[in-house]
Amino acid sequence: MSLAARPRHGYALLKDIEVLSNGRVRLSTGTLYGALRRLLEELWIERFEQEDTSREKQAYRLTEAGRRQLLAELARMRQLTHAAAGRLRMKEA
Amino acid sequence: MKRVYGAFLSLYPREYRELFGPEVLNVFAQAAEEHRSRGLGVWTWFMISELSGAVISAWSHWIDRFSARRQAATPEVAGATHTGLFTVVQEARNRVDLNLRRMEHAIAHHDFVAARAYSIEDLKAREDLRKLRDRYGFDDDEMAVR
Repeated sequence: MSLAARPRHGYALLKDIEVLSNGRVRLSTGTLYGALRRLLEELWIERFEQEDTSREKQAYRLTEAGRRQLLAELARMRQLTHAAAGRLRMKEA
Repeated sequence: MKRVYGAFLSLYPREYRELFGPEVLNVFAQAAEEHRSRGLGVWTWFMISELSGAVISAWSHWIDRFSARRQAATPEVAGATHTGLFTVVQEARNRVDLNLRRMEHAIAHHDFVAARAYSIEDLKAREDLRKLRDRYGFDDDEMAVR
């Protein structure tokens, strides 16, 4: 989700995830790169080099498949919250 | 501290270190610098979570690697028979249905922690089904192999 708007480097991702979660999620570096590795394996994100950066500072961006996956995940969550809200309404009625 | 964290990186599989090693160290160094300026308590907590995170993450990488090897060594599910494939697909579908029912039940009982867990299981089950569909190219309704 953090890569939806624009590509980011590892540290920028850490900071953005913290902001997105209102400070509730602070990933350790190891956890972040574990997640990045899996996303790379699924081909949902890709690494690329920027002219002004070294090997120590790779950037990541969402692939087309990753964007589709994100949209599918959003739809799934929307459906889930909709179902939950429906059940709550049913119980209250 | 960068050196200490670097030593922890040796716990990871070699291909991981080659791919991410310098980058991980760089991100760690940036985060460490930021936390150091916030006081000793924050710094200590940061170091504990980073080092334990590194150990747990390394462990999970090894497990993934091991299971990938096992999967590769397992003969194709049902290059086998149509019946074999049918059973595997049916089981995958049953898992999807079961998780959905459990999730709805948990939501109905306001047990959102369980609902979340079933939601994760639901995702995995759907992903397994999708992979089967991609691998064997079957028609979803009739289970007709192309």
